[in-house]
Amino acid sequence: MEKHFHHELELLKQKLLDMANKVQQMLSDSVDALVNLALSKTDIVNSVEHDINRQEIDIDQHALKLIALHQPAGQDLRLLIIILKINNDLERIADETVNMCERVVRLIENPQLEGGNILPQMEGIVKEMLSKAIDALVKSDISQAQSIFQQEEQVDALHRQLVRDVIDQIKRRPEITELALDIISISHRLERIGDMAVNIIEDVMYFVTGEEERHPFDRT
Amino acid sequence: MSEIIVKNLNLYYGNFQALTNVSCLFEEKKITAIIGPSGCGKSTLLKTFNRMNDLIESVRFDGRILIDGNNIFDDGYDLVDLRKKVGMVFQRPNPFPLSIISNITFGLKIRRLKRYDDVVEECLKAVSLWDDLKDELTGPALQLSLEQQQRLCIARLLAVKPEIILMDEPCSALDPIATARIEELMLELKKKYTIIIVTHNMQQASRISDFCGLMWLGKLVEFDATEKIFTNPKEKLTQDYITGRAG
Repeated sequence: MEKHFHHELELLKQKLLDMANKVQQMLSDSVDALVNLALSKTDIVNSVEHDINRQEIDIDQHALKLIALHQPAGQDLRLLIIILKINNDLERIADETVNMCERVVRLIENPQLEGGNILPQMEGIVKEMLSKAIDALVKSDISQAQSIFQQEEQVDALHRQLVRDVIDQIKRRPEITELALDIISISHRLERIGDMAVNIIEDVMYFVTGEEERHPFDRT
Repeated sequence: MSEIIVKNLNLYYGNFQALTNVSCLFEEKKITAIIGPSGCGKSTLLKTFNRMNDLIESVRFDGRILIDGNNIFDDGYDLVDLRKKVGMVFQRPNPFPLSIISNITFGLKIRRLKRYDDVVEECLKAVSLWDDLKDELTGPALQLSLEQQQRLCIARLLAVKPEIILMDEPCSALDPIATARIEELMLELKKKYTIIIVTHNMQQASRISDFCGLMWLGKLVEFDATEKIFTNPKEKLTQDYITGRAG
């Protein structure tokens, strides 16, 4: 019976990793759409979102079934708990990429404002953070955690800088306010995706160590 | 104080060592569960606390078990007093083939205590049997349901005012509903008594105990707060046992 349970647990983890791969690709496509103003990529992101929503429900139900039927303990219980949490974060990241794509469509139609070189920088870092967090989940290896935390701080700083720059532009050219808000919104969404990559690595740390690693004072 | 302190306990049945260097603290008014595979020494450890193993001819032991600060292995330790202080509930309910009231008063009569009417009511209330049985106290105990019989056995030991209750798989003969009721009773009883339970049912251990110890081949592999044992045990063997990978 336990062999069956552990097989099911591995299957569930694979489902989550499959979803994680798709979400990483969505982020990559939305970044591509933004940097290269590639409208076709926004269509791809939108079409994948429905799959992600279905996968989120499937993973939730599968995890709940395993908890209810097998009463797991120890690292099995921790894995199921973080699968549920990471599942939720991945779905939210997918939503953020869709939302970014909606803004990109407006920017393509009205390319009068640039986010300078800050948005591409943020995008690169956030993609790397998510990739490292997912890699940590795959390998149960948390050696990259500190690097992710440091990157989160970089992204936060870039976001603040972008907001300041864009506000300056609005002051000079009030007619671009609407588009400027789109740029700030994209930046904010990238910053949120960075936060969710941090959530994921913290969950993986909990799985690996069994200790609560969230919100330590020395990291604030 | 009704805590139990076990220090470097070794126990042998002839040449077979059933317990090896067991040391731990069973806290007062807490439920401590002992888990582990069959034959690992759980019941042997439990039975040392009221020295029931003394009844086995080839048994010998060393180490110390302190209850109220006194070593129960000391020469001259009063075994009758020990077994009054440390009551035991077994796998299958074992009421005497007597009336309900006689089961409760049996220990009191042996001790020649004359006034026990209040005790009967008090003990049956403590195990939630009073309302059901108050009008048939002279009826035969063996005609009660298994759950009621187990409750009666607990009431019987409460009558002699123990401090510590040992339970050896107390729900293994009961259905899930009766098991849940006995577990509720245990949670009530721990307000007044120190409880140590041996169980094969890990879910039961995780539901009701405050502390939990894993026995393996006569050794106490790990002993910690139950929450810790079932979410993040220190030892790999504990991890493997609670997740069904070992045992």
